Amino acid sequence: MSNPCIIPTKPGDIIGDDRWLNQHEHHLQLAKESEPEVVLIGDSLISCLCITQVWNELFEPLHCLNFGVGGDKVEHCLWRVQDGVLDSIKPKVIVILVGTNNTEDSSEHIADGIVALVKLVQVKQPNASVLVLELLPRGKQINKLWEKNLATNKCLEDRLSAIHSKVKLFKHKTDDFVIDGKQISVTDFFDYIHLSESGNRKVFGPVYEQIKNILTDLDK
Amino acid sequence: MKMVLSQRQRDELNKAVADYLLSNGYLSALEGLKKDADLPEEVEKKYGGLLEKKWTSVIRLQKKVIELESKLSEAEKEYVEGAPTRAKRSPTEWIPRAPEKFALSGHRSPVIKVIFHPVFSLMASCSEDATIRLWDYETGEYERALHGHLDSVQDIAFDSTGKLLVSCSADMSLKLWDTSSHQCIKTMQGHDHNVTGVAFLPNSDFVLSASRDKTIKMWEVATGYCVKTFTGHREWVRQVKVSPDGTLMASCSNDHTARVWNLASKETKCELRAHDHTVECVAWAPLAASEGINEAAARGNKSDGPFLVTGSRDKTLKMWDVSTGSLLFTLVGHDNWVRGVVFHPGGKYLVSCGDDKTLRVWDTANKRNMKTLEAHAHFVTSLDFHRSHPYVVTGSVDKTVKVWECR
Repeated sequence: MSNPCIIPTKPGDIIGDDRWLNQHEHHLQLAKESEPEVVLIGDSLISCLCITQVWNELFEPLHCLNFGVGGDKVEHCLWRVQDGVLDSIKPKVIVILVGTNNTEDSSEHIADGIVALVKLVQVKQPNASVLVLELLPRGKQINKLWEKNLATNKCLEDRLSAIHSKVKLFKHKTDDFVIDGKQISVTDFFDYIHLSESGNRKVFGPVYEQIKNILTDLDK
Repeated sequence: MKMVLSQRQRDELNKAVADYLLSNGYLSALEGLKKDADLPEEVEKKYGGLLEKKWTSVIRLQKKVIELESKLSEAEKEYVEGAPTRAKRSPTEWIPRAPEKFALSGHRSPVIKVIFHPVFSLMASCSEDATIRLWDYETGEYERALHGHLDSVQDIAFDSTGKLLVSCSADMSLKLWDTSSHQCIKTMQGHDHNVTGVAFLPNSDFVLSASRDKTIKMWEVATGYCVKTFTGHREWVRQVKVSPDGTLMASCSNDHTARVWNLASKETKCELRAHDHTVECVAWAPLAASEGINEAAARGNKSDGPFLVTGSRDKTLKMWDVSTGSLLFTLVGHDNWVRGVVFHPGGKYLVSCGDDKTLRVWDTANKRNMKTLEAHAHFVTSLDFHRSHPYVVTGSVDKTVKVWECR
């Protein structure tokens, strides 16, 4: 069976407001105008980060661009990268978080899709370090989708380490936001999938530290 | 007399007075009071000594108030006069002080560049909102906007008389403006990409422009024609600045270098390499700065320069001797990209700004960051120091322009 996650796909404008394409076009314009050192690409977990204090305080001073689009699946990110969001910039670090919206796909397929995305990113930006974030929990109590995200993270561990020394899987400090390994709090995940301000600080605070370390190492 | 006390307080006072009368043996008065005020036979123990306590506590409080008042006045004095007073300030020593005199809003997008007019109490700012705005820096009044560019205005410069203003933009054009009529008198096209730096030659006959197309172009003001193109940089040329005598030009680039060019021959006089990242800004040292720079360089032979300072995304400022093309020293302190640098007109100090949101004053001779102001809520993109009046202006991604008075 073919894997839809590895085929760059432009989502159909099902709702009819053309927002998906508008966001992508805006990102292309931003890429033309700015000189980011860090680029984040992914779904709503990435896009919602840029309206938080965590973003203003930590990420903005790093000269970051946020290429998150709500609802994106792996194949949609693939399409956006293929279409050129990374073409006119030279970021030093690229952060990827996508996959939780691939609800219909198997963990193996999702992991292969993410690997395909990483490889495409590397073709576009061979000098950049790539940081792939583990998928996050979803749902108040552990459930099939959450378990699948955990399985995807496991697949990624093996596959990403084989790609290149510049590609790293970022492991979340899950103890900070997962209770007994099977529950999440509404204070961190306000709708049991998206992050609140405090959730963003717990998840993206350590990501920021990691980016900062990569940048410091590059300076040496 | 109208009592201002509540019933409860009145009872308390009566009991305290009764206790006082008792403990001092004024028994007949006590009897009278008890009768008049209808007090119980035994006054409770908790009222013992209460009246005296109230008496002395007022004095204690008064003493405390006096102490605090004198502390406050000391703190105020330090805050206001940590710097010399306005009357005692001297043009060679004055530096910008917090808080800002004005925070001016008007631009709808990040402010990219701010400059002072050489003659009038006027300053100009340009922004990603495609406008140039003119302000009175003494009153903080907004004068007007110059519309015409179709994209982000990246740099602006006045000629030496202040009659002309030149601007450049991401729309790839340069525009000349008459500052009295506020009309655009010429538009110059020729660059193949974003134009991010402009400068007048001292005689105001020519303009230089730096572009993302990796070239620098010279334009004749009278005709608007491009008369020279300088090639050599390997990447985007950010800024261009003409030496005080008008014979040399300094440029800086994303290729991590700054270059000094001979304007007449178009040749590169020297290439300045040492920064590890894009060189964002460059400034020529005034003659008055030579002494401090020589002292800081601490070399046997004193040089007459000319000297040049560069600011970079590698977070440092570097001082160069252009006569030899050598790096003299590096100033470290900014925590993020350095975006703007100017010499203090008196020559002793340097002032810089950057993406760490600060404005910093450097004592050149001692290579010391002597003052840091938390200037804006976002990246500080540009600054200028008035040549004769005690003002510094900064512009920021937070869309405001701030005027800082120097003391």
